[in-house]
Amino acid sequence: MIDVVVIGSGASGVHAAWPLVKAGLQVALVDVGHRDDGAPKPPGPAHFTQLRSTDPDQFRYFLGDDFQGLPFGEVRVGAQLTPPRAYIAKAIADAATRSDDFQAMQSYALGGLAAGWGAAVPPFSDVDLEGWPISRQQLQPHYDAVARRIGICGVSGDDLERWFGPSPHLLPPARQDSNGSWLLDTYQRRANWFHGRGLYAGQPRLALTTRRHAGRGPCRNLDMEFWGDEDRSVYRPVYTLDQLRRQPNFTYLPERHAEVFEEQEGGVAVRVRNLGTGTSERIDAGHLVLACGAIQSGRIAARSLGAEDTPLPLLSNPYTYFPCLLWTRLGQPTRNRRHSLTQVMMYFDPHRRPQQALQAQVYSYRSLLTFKLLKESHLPIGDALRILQHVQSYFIILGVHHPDYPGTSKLMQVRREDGGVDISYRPTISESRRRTKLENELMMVMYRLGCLPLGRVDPGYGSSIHYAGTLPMTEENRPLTTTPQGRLRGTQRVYIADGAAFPTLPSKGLTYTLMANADRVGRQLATSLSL
Amino acid sequence: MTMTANRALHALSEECRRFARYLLDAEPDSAEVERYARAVQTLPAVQCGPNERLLSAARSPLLLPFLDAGTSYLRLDCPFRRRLMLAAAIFEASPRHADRFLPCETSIARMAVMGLWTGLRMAVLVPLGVLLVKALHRP
Ligand SMILES: Cc1cc2nc3c(=O)[nH]c(=O)nc-3n(C[C@H](O)[C@H](O)[C@H](O)COP(=O)(O)OP(=O)(O)OC[C@H]3O[C@@H](n4cnc5c(N)ncnc54)[C@H](O)[C@@H]3O)c2cc1C
Repeated sequence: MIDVVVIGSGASGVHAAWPLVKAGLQVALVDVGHRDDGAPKPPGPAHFTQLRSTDPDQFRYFLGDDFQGLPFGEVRVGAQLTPPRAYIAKAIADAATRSDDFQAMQSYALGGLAAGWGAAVPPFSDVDLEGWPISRQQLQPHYDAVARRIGICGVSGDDLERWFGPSPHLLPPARQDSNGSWLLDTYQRRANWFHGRGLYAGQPRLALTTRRHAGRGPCRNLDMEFWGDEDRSVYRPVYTLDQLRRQPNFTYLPERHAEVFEEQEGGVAVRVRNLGTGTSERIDAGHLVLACGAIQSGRIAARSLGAEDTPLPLLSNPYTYFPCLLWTRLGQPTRNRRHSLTQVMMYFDPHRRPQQALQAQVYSYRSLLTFKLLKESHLPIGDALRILQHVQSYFIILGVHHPDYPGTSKLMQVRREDGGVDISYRPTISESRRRTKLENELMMVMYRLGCLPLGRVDPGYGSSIHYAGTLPMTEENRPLTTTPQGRLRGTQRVYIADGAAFPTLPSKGLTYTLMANADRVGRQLATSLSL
Repeated sequence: MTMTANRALHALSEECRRFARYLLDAEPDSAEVERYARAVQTLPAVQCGPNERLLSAARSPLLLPFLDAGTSYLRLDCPFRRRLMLAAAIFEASPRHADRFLPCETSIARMAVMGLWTGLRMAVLVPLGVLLVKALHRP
């Protein structure tokens, strides 16, 4: 008899399953679980510049055997996914998600979206959790448990501590690259001035093992994080899944697409489609934990509760990129060894309204290759190539996330006819204006940091790949919501352990909180079942 | 292979060589040429009819810089510009040309000279290029 069936092997699913398995319960994890489809990968651990100068087959992973890595057309959601990671966004033959104004990148991969994520893990503060029925204090033990499990590096006691709160389990910070150190030095020299303008900067917290941790790492600073996982230093949910699979009371059931559930006397029956055989199967368990991403969990819940025509709220951080030149650093030497992830994290709150603060992440541009920039440059390609070679070391991408709150024009709805999802996502005019105004103000301050913005790229709604809010957690007893313990209202035995339960989205990346909340839901369920 | 297919392949190989000379002042090797031809034949995004006038004009190495400047200035997302970008990507992902793409350190003085030179080039190439592209391009 299965005590708990968990749907999804992403960041949420594996951390919900962990405490249940540790409590000795029989747990099955149902997953579509697409695997890396054998796309060519970099050969062994080698540094980016070394591969570039020596490997005759590099075009196979940099461009893809079918040249799928070439970015023609508009910048779209998932532009960061390189050919070796394209399988993460592979669809399944199923009723589609449709929208005119929102690009939802859903993953059916083993390990979900975090098989290719950027690993920035800012925790939510009490301000971020305003309107939630749980506090930072309640989440703290789960943040700590996840930090110990996955390995998080960073510094305590810097200017970002007021945004992050303390963490007792940090690994040493990652080595900063030349742009990152330059920016932080400039910032620290005039910290009071920047604070007066509402800018706070520091080293990011990253799910990156800077020393050996749980059999992984340390990070070798090969600058290949977008292409492969050679040193296993960036956390991927599949590592936790591998640990779970070594436990006798855990079963992994891949190639299964969960469709609906039905509560019955003493348990839950989940109907799944076996993608290998094409047949329908039924899995019986004592309890069900939905952790297959906010949109999929919302869809399964709405279909199972006969609420297909009811619109569900949908949240996603609006996202903008700013290519910038660090012009004050021009001509300075650049260190070759570095990682490709976020170098500096910033929070910008000029109007002292921390709920509306934006998050800006600084990446140095190198390992995604020059040709991707050519399209965005106004210069002739021939001249752009020559110039970029000389200025590339001083080139940064500033990725800006804004918070998101539920609204009557940001909704998803399950189609009754085929079970697919329609999304309509239109922020209000005042939300859009506030976003532009804040970005303009940020650019003025960035200029004082020596950053010259060269353009603004808006990849469209949904492109942050942060989705939440479809079955929000609340104290109010409303249908299609979740209790503070994670139980889906209208059910007795179904729990929500992914972003679906987040009632709001601060500008911070949500995945660390997804994992901590999943751990919380799993742990509470384990405790109640063990009583 | 039919005669027509052979001719098309030959034209693509020549196009690749012209682009390499223009972008890198270098000759591509046979693997790069083959890769370019295969990419054009595989990717619908870079394909066009035989009468694409910008690509026909790009057969002249003299016109190439003007066409590049004109299409960039007008931000014209056309097969010519896409193919030039494709060629750049193929050359970049080849160890032979790595030193032409990997970042290099340069003094500020040299950058200033480069900036000035590019500015002067643009002052000539862009207006003439825009005229040329407008005359040739039919959306
Ligand atoms: C390029 C990129 C960079 C990112 N960077 C960051 C970052 O730096 N910081 C951050 O906080 N976040 C980041 N994110 C977002 C982060 O990856 C996601 O928030 C997180 O992985 C979501 O985890 P999840 O488990 O809730 O859902 P998902 O990752 O979507 O996992 C869903 C899982 O459920 C399975 N599944 C789905 N539907 C079904 C079904 N019907 N039946 C059975 N199984 C199903 C899938 O196979 C998959 O295993 C990034 C994402 C991407 C793509």
